[in-house]
Amino acid sequence: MRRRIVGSLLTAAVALSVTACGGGNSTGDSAQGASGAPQQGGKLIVGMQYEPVTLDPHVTGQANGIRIILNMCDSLVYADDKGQVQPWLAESWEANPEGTAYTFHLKKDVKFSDGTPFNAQAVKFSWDRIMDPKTASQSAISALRPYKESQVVDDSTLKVTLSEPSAIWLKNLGAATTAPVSPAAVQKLGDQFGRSPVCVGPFKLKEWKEKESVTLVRNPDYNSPSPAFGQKGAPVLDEVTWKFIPENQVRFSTLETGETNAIEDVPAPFVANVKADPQKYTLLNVPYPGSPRQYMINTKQFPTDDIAVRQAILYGVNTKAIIKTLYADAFPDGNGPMGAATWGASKGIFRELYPQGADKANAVLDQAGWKPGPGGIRVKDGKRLEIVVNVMSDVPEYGELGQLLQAQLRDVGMDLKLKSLSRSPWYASNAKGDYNITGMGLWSTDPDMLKSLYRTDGSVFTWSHFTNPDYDKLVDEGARTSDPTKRLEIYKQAQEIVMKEALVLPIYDQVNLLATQSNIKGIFFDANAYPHFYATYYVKK
Amino acid sequence: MLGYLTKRLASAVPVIIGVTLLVFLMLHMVPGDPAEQMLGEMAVDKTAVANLRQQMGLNDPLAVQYGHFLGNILHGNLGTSMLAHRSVMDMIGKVLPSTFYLTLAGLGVAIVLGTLLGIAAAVRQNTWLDTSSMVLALLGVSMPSFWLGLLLVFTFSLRLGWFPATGSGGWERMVMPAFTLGFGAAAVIARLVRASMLEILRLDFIRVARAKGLSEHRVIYRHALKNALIPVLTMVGLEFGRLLGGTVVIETVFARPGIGRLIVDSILKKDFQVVQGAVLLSAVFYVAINLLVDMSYALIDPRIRYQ
Repeated sequence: MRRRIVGSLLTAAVALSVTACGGGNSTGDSAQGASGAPQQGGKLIVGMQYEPVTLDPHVTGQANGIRIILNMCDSLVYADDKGQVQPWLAESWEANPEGTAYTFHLKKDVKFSDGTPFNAQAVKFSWDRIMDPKTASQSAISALRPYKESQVVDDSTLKVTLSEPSAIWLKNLGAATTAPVSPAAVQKLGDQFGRSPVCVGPFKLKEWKEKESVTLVRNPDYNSPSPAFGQKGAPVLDEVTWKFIPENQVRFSTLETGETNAIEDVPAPFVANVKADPQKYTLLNVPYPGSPRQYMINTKQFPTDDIAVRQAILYGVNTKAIIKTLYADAFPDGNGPMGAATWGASKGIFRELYPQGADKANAVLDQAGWKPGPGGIRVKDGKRLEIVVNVMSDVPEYGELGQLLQAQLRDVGMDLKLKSLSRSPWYASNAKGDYNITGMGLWSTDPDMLKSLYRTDGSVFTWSHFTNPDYDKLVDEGARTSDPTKRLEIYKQAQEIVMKEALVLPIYDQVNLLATQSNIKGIFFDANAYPHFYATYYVKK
Repeated sequence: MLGYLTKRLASAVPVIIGVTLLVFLMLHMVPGDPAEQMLGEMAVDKTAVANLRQQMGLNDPLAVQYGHFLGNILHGNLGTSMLAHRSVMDMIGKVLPSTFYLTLAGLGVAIVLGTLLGIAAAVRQNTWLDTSSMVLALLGVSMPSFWLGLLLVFTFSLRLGWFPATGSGGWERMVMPAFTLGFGAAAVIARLVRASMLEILRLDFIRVARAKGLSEHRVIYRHALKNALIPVLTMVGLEFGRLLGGTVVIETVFARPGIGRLIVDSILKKDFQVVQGAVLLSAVFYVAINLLVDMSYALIDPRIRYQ
């Protein structure tokens, strides 16, 4: 169920900032790798909950699609574990001082998996294709903006013009969605390209069985891995298959029976089973960068326009109990405005400022003049302390979370009203602002998300409806600044403002839960916490 | 016979038209603007909504939209998936055989299991065999199929390792889904066969058959069963539709490709064009099957003549 919420907001997350390869989380290697000798070849079957609609990197807006695509499609750059942009298919680049023109020098002697050459023409073709309204790009187009046009200088040199400067554009090119595709294949396949995409990458598509599975096969000519993988040449595995198994219990069962060798999105109730048997399974829990699963608190609507009420919510909600009840302790506590794994996150800022406790919540409310009234609900100036929660009815998790919040906050004298709305009216209500708190989660690798979530008109997700000129100035500066040290300082201040103003209630940090059989090593997680199987191998038990 | 066939075919036309109307209106009965529903969070972009409305022809009067919809169907065009950018016909065509085989296998399980249980219960009326058969039938009627499916996966995949839990292809992947699908229908058929057999076994011609010295086996299977099967056949026709609908759950539980799964996935993704196409085709099959069942009465009971 969790995936669906995250999935429903994926497009948004990608719109903000998504970078593909990077990070530094890799399984195996040091500790685990020593237990057995790596085997050449082999097939890996991965259980995935839902089948993606398309595998066209430029069209897709779905995380499950991107997870498959990034094993077929290399990007021009990647973000490393320090959030810095590193060369991949682009060997190097220069930018003009204004940051509106880039010249890329591409790797030579690289081929698409259909054998046609990778060159500047192909990159230009790909990016123009993304911007073309006919492509109907759901996420790549947001990552590529403010791309205006590009000029082929020679086979390995491309000049790109942006319509305005952007500090995160280059980082966004790390998204698998902006990966170059083979122009020859696009022309040949037409609207069937999404069924059998052709990129530069370690694997290529072998077969897509509708509503059943997608199989990728080793690309023997592959020669362009990013340095982050720590491996050269073609991949070790012969094949990787994703089987689509929607039912949680069944998906987990297939890992036990060996029908799959790994499963994505381990359902929370089964995490304990996986952990209990380390001889058989390995649990890889890699935190997603971005916001925690959280509630945005509306600063413009009574009674959450009162900062005391907002702060009381933060003190009063027992997030640990929620994580235990709903998720079997599979997720870490919500960190703050950004999940702890996000570059630039101030670690533990939420609970540092707001240690959990009903007594503290009560004290804040007493001080602000909210007096206990009939039925234990607090009253001020004749008005009851009623909090309206927007609940997206399409996603059961929001309902369950809402009920727990309702029970917990009743103890400090708040009356939570759960307003159930289907998806479209839910978005409309959030935009309008006729509620007090609303749940969400956002994936993003860059603290620029703080602008999108809390700046005046920062994006469509500013559901705290917060307006503060100082804050706006701060995050605008962050978007313009390229020096990482300066940016860190800026975003540290921004996070402090968000938490002190109590704009958000973080519940838990979002985590990618992947379980594998214990003889599988070398799964690489990129800056988005997405797994890559390029360097994956089996060890002899 | 030919005249009857024409008449029946003609009477199916209003049904199909009714279905197209319902399927067409489905898009408009979803709360909110269909274009906004499809765009999800992107619906905040009003130009995108306006463009999509234009593209989907949602600005035309309802009657005009319905006309276009019907025209397209007559040309075998069920539209294009908004998300996958593929023809809905192509998407359905790829998964339809799998659902067809599953439904047939489920029906097979239902008929064989149902008939055997029903006969056993009727012939050994008021014995332990009768009671246990009917308890089994009660279970079949009342047990939700997703639960039965999970139980089977737990027992036969996880504990015993006899059958793979997911996927399609090969009989071993068909056993559990077909049984899960057919079990509920088997229960209905078993109760019907029992009642029908009990009634017929009391009739004079059975007594005559027994008096002639025919073997009990012959009496039951040649004389009684054949007559008991007429109401069962009607039930089979109705159950077929239920089975077709049941594949929605079964295909999701056993991760099999199929039209039910396609519908569920498309609903989750708000890909309404695909939902419309798939529901429409399922309805057409249902009508066609019922027609076939009506035709087959004559084969079983020569007293029935078509006019």
